Amino acid sequence: MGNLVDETVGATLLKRITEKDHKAFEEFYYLYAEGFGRFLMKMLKQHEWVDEAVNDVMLTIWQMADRYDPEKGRLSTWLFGIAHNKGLKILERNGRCREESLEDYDVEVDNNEKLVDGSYGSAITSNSEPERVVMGWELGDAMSWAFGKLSPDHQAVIELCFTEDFTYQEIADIIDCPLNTVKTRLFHARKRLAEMLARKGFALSDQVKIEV
Amino acid sequence: MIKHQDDKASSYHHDELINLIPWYVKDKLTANERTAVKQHLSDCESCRQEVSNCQALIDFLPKPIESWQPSAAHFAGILASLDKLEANEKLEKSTQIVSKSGFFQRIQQLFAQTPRPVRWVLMAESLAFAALAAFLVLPGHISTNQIGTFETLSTVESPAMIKGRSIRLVFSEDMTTRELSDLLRKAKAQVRQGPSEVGSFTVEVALKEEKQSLSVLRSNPKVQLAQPVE
Repeated sequence: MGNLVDETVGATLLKRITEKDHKAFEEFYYLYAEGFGRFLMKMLKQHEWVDEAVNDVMLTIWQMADRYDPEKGRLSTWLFGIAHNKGLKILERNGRCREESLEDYDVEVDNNEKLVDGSYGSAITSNSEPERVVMGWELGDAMSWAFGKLSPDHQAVIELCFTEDFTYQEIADIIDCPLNTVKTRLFHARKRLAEMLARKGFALSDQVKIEV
Repeated sequence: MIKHQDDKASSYHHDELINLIPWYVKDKLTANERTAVKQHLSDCESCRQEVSNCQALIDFLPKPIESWQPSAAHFAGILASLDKLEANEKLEKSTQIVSKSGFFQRIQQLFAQTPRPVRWVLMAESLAFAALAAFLVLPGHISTNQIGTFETLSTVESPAMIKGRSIRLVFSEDMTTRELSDLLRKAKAQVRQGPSEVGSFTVEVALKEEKQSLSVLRSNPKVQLAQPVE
């Protein structure tokens, strides 16, 4: 997002916003909202929640534009930090827990294998054997399903690293946690993803279906 | 920084390096970190596997089903929220000013709104009033005692309260009021009664002054009688 936008343009607009320039605020919106809106869309998955979160982010920018310090980091890092925080608040308000326990995850995966899943009903039979379960699935489908099962915290670090191209230091700033937490959280997110894909008969490294 | 030195260090470094692989794949590491990961990959099959996993993850990460785009309608909503927010802030500020401003702040506001000449006149009046109040209230002003500069009949120290000898006096008819007053002052006497039906006065003098007072009174030619009363 911010990687594609010239940081100096954003910083100039932000300076004008501190002087309560409505025109600069509008320009800033059209320049940056798409980027953090896309991130929020993946995080929240509901259009109206993203509308609300982007609204909250923009109001925060209007009120706290003077708090941005270019020496402390990139503008996009600052913006994603605000967006992540607003997104989490909306998730919490709507009862989405941030951390899933491994037990919950295992039970959920087992249930998915035993029951016909509505969203993937055409692909899943009542048979629990992996090759039957994944029948008709592409890796992308399995990945979408597995990614959706990750906790919001795990999804966030994967998105920030692999889609938004932030460094681990920037991710630590965005989600406001220590560096090592970012590294280990991403490691565990990848591990969980791989485990869930394996249960569906896929391995990321091969990019092919595992024949069991 | 991160070095691959021996088996023990290698095992320790493996845990550290495997956590850096996502950023190695995205080319977001420092030069030193990148070199360390690259060296480690030549020896570590599981980390090479992790590199493949990360590259596949990038390729197959799910795209959002629904995209989100900024729009004029959404921005209009933001501006409406902004107006509401600013209106609330103004209201809060004015409420804070009213609640915070005490008596003196209100006086200051009133003072600032007053024209300059009126302000100076008011200030002079206030100072005069304050000086007068201080003159009356503060100790050490012209009053010489607690009672004041005047004397009353009820004053303890008043001659009216003297408990002494009573003397009956009869004056000649040509005695004036002024002469009577001077004589009584000279004799340190205080009128108690009189004039009676027969024209006599009863005065009182201090016991220790009795003889002196009698002498003064009797020496006056207009005093026809000066007789102590038992």
